Amino acid sequence: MNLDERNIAEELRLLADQARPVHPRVQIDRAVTRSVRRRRVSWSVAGLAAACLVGTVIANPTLLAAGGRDVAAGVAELPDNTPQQARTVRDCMPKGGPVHEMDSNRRLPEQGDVDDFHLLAQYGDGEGSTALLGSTAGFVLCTPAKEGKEGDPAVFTYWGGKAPGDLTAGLTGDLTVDAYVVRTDGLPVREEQAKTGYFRVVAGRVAPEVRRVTIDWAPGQQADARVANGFFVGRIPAKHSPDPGGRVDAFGDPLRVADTPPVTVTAYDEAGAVAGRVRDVTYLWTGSEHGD
Amino acid sequence: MHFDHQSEFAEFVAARSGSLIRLAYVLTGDQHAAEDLLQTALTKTAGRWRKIRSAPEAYVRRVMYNEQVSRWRSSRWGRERTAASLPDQPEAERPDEIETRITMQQALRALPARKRAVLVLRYYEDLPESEVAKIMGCSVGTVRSQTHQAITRLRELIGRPVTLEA
Repeated sequence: MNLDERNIAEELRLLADQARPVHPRVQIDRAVTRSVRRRRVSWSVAGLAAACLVGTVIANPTLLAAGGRDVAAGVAELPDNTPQQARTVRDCMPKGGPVHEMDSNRRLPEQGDVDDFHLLAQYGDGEGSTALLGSTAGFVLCTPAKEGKEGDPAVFTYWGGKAPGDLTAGLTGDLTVDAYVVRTDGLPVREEQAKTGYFRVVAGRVAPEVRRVTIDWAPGQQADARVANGFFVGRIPAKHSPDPGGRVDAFGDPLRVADTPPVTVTAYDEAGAVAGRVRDVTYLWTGSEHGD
Repeated sequence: MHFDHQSEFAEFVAARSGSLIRLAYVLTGDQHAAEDLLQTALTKTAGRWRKIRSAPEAYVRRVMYNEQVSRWRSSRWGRERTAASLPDQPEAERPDEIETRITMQQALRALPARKRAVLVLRYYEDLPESEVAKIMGCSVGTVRSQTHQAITRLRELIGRPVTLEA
């Protein structure tokens, strides 16, 4: 084998062939979330500097809902798992806990152990279910995979969108939306299989007095979420449509993209009065900055 | 990020992640490091999407090179490293070809980040020296000397001469 520049190029290509594919959706989720956080940190630094200039001191901040009530005081506690729920949690975390978002074989022990997680709320429909699993630090959205398919990795998100996370982190009142993402009950093996088994999922936290949560998935398309233990989760099959830009895939067929319009989430108390509403939650939201 | 821009960004990543992870892998020589590098580049890309959405891939690639070279400047990444494991080899090759290939790939993995980056730009990406100079923020002369040094080091690691084309 002659070692010239052509061989170097060829060896680099062979090296590239050893790269394992990554899951685009997870990369997208994390990139968008981190880019938002980067901007927030920049603003926070600027704000802190400004506060120092005017001699402002912020001490013992207390999270208050409209009307001055202490929101943190109304946070629900994690419920105990029934044996069936414990099995669901274990099945969702076959590696024993949360895993790396781009490598489902890589455990992230700092994000907790399977025994730390409780089934908080679960939404079932004719096609399956999605469960919100939570610890005191954060949550995992679990959509069990169909037979013979590889499911979503057990990706962890801190409550409030940042470490260390706790059940009061990021609360925005009686209603807090913690996630608007897409989940699947089976990763596609081939591109042409990619358009089924995907669900738009919205999840979050509510005050104990909230009895009902509705999600407006699109104009005229409203459905109830499942509310339990001070948490909620809802889902709807994701529709795909041809790319508005007219782009095509590798085979020359029209590229189909998931429709993920903004959603509006509304919480109601026992009397049916609106307890909280979060409008225009954008897709890929995994933090807590919305709120009336 | 605006909703329409999020959709565009998501479609871009879905369409190009395969190619980008390959580039990240040849730059780092390690799957986890490649994923971290790509994620860092995509995060920066998402933050500037409004300005760079007309040519996002060029931006992502530039960020990956800059990130990798920045890592090279730190002592942690600047040292040559020993490959943790041998790569899988196709069974059809003769034993001597397999041995040569393993040696070559180990040598590429062991190169410092900046030396590998210049080889990737020149021979994997097949970019002209002037374009490499723009990306790496140096002169064409520096690109030439860096390329020469990288190949010389590769030759030393392999233990045999490398034939340079005119």
